[in-house]
Amino acid sequence: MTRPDPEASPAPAAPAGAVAPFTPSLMPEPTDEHRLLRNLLGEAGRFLAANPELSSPRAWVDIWNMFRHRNRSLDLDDFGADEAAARVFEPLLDFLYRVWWRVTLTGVENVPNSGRALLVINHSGTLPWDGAMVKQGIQTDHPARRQARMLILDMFTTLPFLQPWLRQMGGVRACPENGERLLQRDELVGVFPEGVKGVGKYFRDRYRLARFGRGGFIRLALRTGSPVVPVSVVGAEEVHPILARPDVIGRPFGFPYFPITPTFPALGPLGVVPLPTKWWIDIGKPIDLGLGPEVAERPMIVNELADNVRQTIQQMIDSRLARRGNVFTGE
Amino acid sequence: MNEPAKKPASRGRRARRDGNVVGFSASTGRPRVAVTGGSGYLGARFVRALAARGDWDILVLDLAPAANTPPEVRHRFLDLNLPHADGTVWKLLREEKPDVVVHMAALRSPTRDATYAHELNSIGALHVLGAAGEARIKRLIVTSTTLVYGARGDNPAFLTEDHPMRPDPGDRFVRDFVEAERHARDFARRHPDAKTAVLRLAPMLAPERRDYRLRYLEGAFAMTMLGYDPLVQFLHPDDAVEALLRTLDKPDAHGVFNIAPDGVLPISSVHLLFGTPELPVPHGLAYGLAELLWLAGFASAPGIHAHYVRYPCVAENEKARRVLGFSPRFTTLETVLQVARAKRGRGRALDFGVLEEIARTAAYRFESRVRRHRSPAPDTPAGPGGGIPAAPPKLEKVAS
Repeated sequence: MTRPDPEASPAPAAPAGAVAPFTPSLMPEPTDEHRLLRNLLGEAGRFLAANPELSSPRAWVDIWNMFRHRNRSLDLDDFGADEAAARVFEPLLDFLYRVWWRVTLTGVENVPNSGRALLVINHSGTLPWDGAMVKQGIQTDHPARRQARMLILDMFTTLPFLQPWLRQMGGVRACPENGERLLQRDELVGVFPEGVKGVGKYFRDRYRLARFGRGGFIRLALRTGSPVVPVSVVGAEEVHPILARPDVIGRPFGFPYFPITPTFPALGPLGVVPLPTKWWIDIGKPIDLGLGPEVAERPMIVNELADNVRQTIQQMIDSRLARRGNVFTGE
Repeated sequence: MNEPAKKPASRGRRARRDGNVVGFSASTGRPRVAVTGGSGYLGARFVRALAARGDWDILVLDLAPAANTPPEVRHRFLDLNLPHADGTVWKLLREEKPDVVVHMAALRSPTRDATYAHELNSIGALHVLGAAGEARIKRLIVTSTTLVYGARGDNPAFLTEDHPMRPDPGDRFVRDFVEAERHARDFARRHPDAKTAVLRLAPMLAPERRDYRLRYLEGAFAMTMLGYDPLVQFLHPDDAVEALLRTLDKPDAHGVFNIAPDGVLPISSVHLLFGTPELPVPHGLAYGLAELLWLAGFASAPGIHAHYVRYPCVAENEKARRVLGFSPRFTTLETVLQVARAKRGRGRALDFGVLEEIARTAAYRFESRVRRHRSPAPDTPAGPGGGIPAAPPKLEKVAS
């Protein structure tokens, strides 16, 4: 099966007038692709010869695993946040923040430069994009580049694919234990006290804050002595306007409801693309609860404090809505 | 000591049956510890470490003495699977009068013979605890596992000791440990003057211990859940032994303690280090498939254990640090790297030298990141950006 190599130097001993060597016509002349492929295989062969340890099947499993982990780090924080993995999605979040939603962030100076603080944010938009944008805004515009740790609803942290992704991006499952642990480490923690009621509210209920849970976030702030920083997000309610949400369809998928929006599921995967509305994120002045941790055991006071915070955020939303024009342009 | 008239008779009977065995000699004056299951993997290591210190008289109660047992360690036969094992334990404890009983006899990998595991892990603990109560033992150390918390989607990132035990009701292997802990709790309630320490050991990983986790990790394929990547922790056996020694040294150790390492690792990274290809299965199929593989003899754990590759079950070691003075020497990453290098060090494309350097840096960073929050030094200079104030920040400062 030896064939004359067209690239090799011409055979030296070809006497003049001799018959041309026979070339099997069934074998096509090597094209450029053939040469490229043969060179590549030759490279692989030379590589394997130079690295004999790579000829074991385990090494190929390693290469496959390393390819899958090419953007992952082994040095995680306690909650599994992976800086290397988060860096990959940085351009996407930046694009969403600057171009897609053209977020205007005000009051970033109200976030303390160091030490613990609890951001209380209104929840909207079917998927937790609002948390990602608040985190992105503080990371971009805050002088200390603080990384906010968002406490995320169970319904997102138990979903396949979303669970590892949110964990790598620094999200933490919302529960008192996790919040307390983060605040005791002087982290900046973001909570969405409305929970499922907020993120999955009907389009007709937009910008009307739901009940603030059972005041768990107030208990968290009281126990850890953290200031409460109210944050209002305007614009996120319209990215996936929920017209109906039959929970019969959602339950088998582990989702508390099945959102039906003008684009989802009618346009299939395209319906997951959020609408490019104009967003405002307003960060209010920190609220001094001025009470000790013992108040956390008094439900009526906790509830009143929670409602006060809710009204503050509602006022911030209302004043922003009054100044807002078009949903998409903002003018 | 309480009934001097009865003691010689019973000791004489034991001595006749197995002639070379004598009771603890009273002359040494050292405290006495009896270790059930002291010939098992962890038990033998604990006994060897304790014997090397030489400040305790050690009696191992197990089926057979372990290899390499130091000569000063005595062994007496005990089979906790017999229905009347509590009487046997009682007789042994009455004759030997140990100050501390360490109950470590348990099957720590799931077996297809669930009845056997139940008799040993749950009823065996009941026998030992019942006999210890009758023999007026003042100190007990019982080893359990952090799996008793159960892997659940709504677990907090770190499970503390007061978190309820919620394993899947169908998980018979873990349920037996929960029952053993209930027996220990009942014992503590019945004998308020006795100190009962329950050590919940995080999953251990060691190259020479082929338990069900190591068999899972070094299989041809590792089944994972499609779209899930929970955090796991692995305890180094040296750290487990260290925790047991610390508990033994604390005369008033009472209550439940998580014995867990520092640091976590996603299970996909463990597979990366072991060089095992992952086989992701959608969670709707995974439990049934895992159960089929288990019944067919290809898997090392029942299908219900697929929970542990889906949801996190990570324990907090803060209480053991504070009360027992336990501080783990190896992080999860270091333990996994050690075992992966020992079991799968050949023919790898991974550079273990570089990985070990990463593990050292990560452990150092972990130390500096976490430890300073656990015990903030009062005179730490609190700079404007990086310093950590010992007290909660003042609101006036924050608002300005």
